[in-house]
Amino acid sequence: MHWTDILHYLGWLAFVPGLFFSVRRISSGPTTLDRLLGFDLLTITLVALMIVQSIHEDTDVFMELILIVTALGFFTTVGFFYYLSHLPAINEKLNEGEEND
Amino acid sequence: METVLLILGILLFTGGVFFMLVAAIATARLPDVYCRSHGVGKAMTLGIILLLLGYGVLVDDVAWWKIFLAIGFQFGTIPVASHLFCLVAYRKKVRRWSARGWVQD
Repeated sequence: MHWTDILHYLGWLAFVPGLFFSVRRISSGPTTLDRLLGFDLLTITLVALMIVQSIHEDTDVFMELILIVTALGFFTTVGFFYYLSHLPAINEKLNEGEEND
Repeated sequence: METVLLILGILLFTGGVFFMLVAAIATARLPDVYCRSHGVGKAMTLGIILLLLGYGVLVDDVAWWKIFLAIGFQFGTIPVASHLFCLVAYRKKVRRWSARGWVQD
């Protein structure tokens, strides 16, 4: 087993639970902001998996894809914040289900 | 020199993986959205920067200016998004968790 294989397995072993946690946060987050935070974690973990795959394949063709995916995740998040900032101060979208914790 | 660069790259990569795992566990375990955005904004930024530096050390044919462009981009976007979580949650009066129970500002 080569050393890059060890790094490859280590990265996948650490980031697949990250993907699982973020999808669980998207599906079961108590408020809308929690779901959005899960989406943010999902995009950054995808970028980290792209870096792991780039090291494994010893290439730099994913570099532009890393920049594009980062930009897409950030602008999606900011656009959703722009929508959320126009909601009234206390409503059911932002405060749903918090009593269950 | 080759061995030193190899060990440095493996250390940077392992540190990045560790901090990314810390950010994922913080998102899963912390109680409310303020604490979760704190965990994501700090641990995630440090983890992705260490991963990109390790990528630049371990792979030969990647240009360093692309690495630093990606690092600057991550360094500009992740803390801003993490700050926006707390800003919108505070403006919209989402309840926060404290050691004595839930607090409604």
